[in-house]
Amino acid sequence: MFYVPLSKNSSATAMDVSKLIQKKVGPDVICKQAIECVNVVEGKRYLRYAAIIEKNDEQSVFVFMANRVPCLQSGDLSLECVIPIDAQLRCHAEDDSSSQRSMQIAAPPKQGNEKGDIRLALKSSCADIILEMPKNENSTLFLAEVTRARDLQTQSLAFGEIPTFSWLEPFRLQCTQGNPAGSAGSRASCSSSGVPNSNDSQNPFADDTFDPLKHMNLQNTGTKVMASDVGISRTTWFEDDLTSLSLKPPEMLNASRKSVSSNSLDKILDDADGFTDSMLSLEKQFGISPSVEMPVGSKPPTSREKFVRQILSERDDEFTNQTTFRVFCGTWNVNGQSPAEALHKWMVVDNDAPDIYAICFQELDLSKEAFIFTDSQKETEWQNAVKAYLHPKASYRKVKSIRLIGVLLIVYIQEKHVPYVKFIDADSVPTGIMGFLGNKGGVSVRMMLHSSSLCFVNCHLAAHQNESERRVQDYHDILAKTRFKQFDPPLCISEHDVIFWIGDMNFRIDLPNDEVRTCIRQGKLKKLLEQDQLSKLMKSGGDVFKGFEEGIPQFDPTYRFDAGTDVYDSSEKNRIPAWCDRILWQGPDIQILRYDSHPHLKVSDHKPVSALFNTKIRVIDQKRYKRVYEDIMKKMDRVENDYLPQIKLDKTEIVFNDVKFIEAQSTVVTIANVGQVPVEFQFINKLDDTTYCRPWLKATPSQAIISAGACCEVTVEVYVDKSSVARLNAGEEKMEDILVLHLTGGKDSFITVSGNYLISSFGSSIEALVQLHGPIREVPVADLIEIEKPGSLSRVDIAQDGGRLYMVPKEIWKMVDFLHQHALDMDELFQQPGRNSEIQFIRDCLDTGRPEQISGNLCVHSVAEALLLFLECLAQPVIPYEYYTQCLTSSNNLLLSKQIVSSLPDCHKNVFLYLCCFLRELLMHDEHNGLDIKFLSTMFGEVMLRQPPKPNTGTPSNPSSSSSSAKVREATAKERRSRLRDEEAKKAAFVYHFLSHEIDF
Amino acid sequence: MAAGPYNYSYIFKYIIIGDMGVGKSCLLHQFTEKKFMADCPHTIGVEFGTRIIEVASQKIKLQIWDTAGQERFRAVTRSYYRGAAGALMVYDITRRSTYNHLSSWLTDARNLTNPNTVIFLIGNKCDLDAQRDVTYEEAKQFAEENGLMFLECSAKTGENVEDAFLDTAKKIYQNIQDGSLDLNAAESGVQHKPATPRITMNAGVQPPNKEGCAC
Repeated sequence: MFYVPLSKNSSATAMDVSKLIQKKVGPDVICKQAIECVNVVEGKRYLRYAAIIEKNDEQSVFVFMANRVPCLQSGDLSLECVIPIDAQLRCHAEDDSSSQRSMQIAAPPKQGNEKGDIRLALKSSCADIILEMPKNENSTLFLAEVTRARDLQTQSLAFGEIPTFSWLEPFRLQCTQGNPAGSAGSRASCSSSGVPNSNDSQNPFADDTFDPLKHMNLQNTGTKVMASDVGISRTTWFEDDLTSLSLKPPEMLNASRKSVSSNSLDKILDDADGFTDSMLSLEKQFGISPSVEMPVGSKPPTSREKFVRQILSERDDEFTNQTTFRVFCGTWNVNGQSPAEALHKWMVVDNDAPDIYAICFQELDLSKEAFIFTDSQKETEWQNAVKAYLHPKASYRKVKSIRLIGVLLIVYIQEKHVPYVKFIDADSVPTGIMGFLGNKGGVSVRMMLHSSSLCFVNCHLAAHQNESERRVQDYHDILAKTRFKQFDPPLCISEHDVIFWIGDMNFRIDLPNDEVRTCIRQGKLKKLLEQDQLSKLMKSGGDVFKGFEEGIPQFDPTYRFDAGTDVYDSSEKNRIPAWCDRILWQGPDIQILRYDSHPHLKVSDHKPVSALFNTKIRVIDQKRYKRVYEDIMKKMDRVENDYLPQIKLDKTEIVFNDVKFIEAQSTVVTIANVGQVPVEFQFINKLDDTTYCRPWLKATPSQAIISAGACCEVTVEVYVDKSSVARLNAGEEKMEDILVLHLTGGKDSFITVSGNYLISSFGSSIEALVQLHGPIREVPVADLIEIEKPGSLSRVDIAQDGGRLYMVPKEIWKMVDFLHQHALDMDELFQQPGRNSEIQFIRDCLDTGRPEQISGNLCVHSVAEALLLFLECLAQPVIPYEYYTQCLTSSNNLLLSKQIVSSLPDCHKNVFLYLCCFLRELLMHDEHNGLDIKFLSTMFGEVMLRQPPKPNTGTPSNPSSSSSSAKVREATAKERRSRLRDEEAKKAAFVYHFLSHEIDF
Repeated sequence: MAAGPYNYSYIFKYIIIGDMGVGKSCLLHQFTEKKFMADCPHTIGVEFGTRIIEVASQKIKLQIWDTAGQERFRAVTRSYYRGAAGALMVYDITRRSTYNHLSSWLTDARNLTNPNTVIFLIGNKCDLDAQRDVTYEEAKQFAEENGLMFLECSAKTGENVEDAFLDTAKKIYQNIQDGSLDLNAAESGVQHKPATPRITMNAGVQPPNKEGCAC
């Protein structure tokens, strides 16, 4: 932990900080004000920035900690805690100059008292923090704003408006508080401030909607931030390194905070918004920008986007070209000197301008100030010098530079490549005294150039002849600890396509001083190289600089000279010359063109070293990229279509032969699930239908789920019963239907069902039947349809053909006659059910003209039931529909009933009287057959008097009735039941007249 | 759908109608799979296909219902017109009868869809120019007289297939934009998926999850 003296003129930086914070929190919320302050925790003081953030008229105090001082970019800030300004917030401000006296924060602090600080205690259900801020105009405004916001909340609460602060949720998840790696945090501050921690006593629901996500370890997920928004969980993509930075261990922060300066052009490029990212624009063009708009409820990890990205990266080769880039790497330990010489001798090695410059300095600034202050005069000097001596044939832009005390890395790229550079990041790892002071260490810059990732490392490893092991340790530390935290998870050095490892590595030559110097004089560099510590380490095959390569130094050792000369160290230390300054690389297709030292530059005790490389960079070919992208999209669409439910039917056309009345026929349709997902099928209604099929058709099951690869057998059955027989007989309906087999989320299949229906006397009309002499099956269908037409009988020329009409249909006569012969004394007549097969047999006998076969071997009950069925099925009941109401109203009056019967059409009247006559006959045998008049009246009342079919049956019921409440429906049902009972009684009463007496007409 | 959530702003429902054998299913197949389906069986039912397209940088999911063309299914396929945002009405340029039936298909389309449904006339099989039985001009005139969009396409070569589907979507999208298509109407054939607002902090530096995926 370190102490930051509070800057007294912080108001000057406040504006900048609020800008940074605005950037940090994103455009969805407004940073109204920001202020530098100190968080006091147990007497310790930590530099913080407090900001008032507003959204939807709700304000909140955000407290940020700084990873770097001063903060230069939004990434230097990490959110520590979030305090909603609601009615529950208790704030208390104290004037430090009169610390005993507390005062209301609304009261402005005394003007002009520049010395005092203001202590602001904020306490809510989720935070308890003391912030100290210098007393000035800025802090006054800040306090006033907090009070105003709180008062507003109190007022709106009075009006019943309860603030949700749901927008804070994503920010809360970024907070470092509670993260053990984070700061000790302001939460602990309560103990020092003497205010009891009220967390436990608070209503847990007071502060916000309960969010289970908060209790999950989502802190480290970086770019994925789950937000709970008014109950709807949704995911937002953050495009900043906010969350990851906050994970930095404090030790590292402390060490690097003061001594690291980072002059990054990427920041400037951002601000200018001129950093056109070709990939991004392409992604946007194709709609796969990293910040995607997602339908509510979908999660990025499973989204199509991620999948596309994944496949794109796998197919990288298909749309990238290898293009050669010239990379210049230079390293120079400048021994704290200023640039006094022209650097072009070092930096311009040939006629072709390098595409990229990576310039590394060590011991840039040996002054004590460099250890303490961010600014370094030396850095500016060298930065300017480097800028001035870049290759004159091209114009360059700085990608980024990073300095860790004396270790400075500057990366430049040719202007023309700028649009293709993205995801720039830098990091530094101190390895010096105590393992973290920055006098030794490594700094790294990484970037994406086109489709290749590059990483440059500048290191200054431990010195001294015998410290080789320590140098190796430093190397491992830099390799292991460098983290590019913009990424989630953070990237390591080794995760780059191309790595240049440059610097003063301090490796020495394991030979006596004299021998080394002699060899140098004699030009026996090879011998020296054999004893070079680095060469030996790399050859040994250990994990030191594993995967790295180096050119062969053809130059004299670059260490150590008497400054300003080409003479090796002549001081009393008399150091052994060595190749301290080295340039290594790792990556495929890298070709070293030159590896030189530059002895003309004499200002330092080291000579600068340079290396020039041809590096292959993967460049996206837009055309091919588009092609691959479209191919992937096509495949994705295909996958999606493949995942649609798919079925196969073994038949789509079903034809039933010779479908007879009350004789079921069925066939099985096999639905095979040939897709890759379970299929839910259902037979669905056709347009305007209320059922999925005609009444004579049935499919079972009519809905089911079939798992992938399985089958389902659906039985399709036709069965013509009394409800449909009349329409089929009359030719009003053909036996044809289409079953619509619907797959949930998929296609529909049609199954055509048709049948050859055999017309039966069952379901025909009395009018038609009395005209038929022969069996009905022998009559041509056209003729049948003709005589079935209403009123066909009236067209019959009675004079000529009248004599040919039956009194009653012969079918009725046959059955009644049979019963008369066999059943007069039969017990339970019309009560015992018949046998289906016998009823079907009777039907066939009647229809095919074999009535004589209806003989004594048949069960009388079958014949009795057939008779009832026959009467029930008649296209017009024995008492035609038009007389129905009349009959019911007259049922209590014998005379009226008699009048109605006499007015019936002849054939109907005949049938009615014939049946009544037969029933009276039966009743005469009641002591044997046990029938009674009431039973027969009721039974035959039902079959002879039928309620007329309602018009428009089959259309959906009108909405008003369907929307009526259950109560109303229940009432109607009750009413209907009682009406039916009433009608039943009346029907029976009507028939009763004619069974009780023989009535003359 | 079975294959997880996707990101799109709208769902448009299309139907494809026209006589038997004019190539409705092949058009759908060509559009969704970019392939020609030789000897495609008669559609007995209603096939279903989807594809995500982009119109005015909005991602739109097309839900396409390809109906059976056989006359005997006509009564049933009428059920599918309801709620279509776009109707592709297809005839075969080599068979005049399929062209002659257009007015009956159009009547159905007009009666059974909402007034804003975009009807696109497609003269399919334009690769078979030698056997042409219906001239481009007369069909063009028919389209103009009836206020239809029109293209001659080939499901075999893929010519104009993409355009027919995309132009229909563009027109629907335009109708949404100018307010003539009411998304709240149940029969609009368009579902809107409201997208979550995105938080943009810094357009230049957008950290990907891991750079490999950023390619």
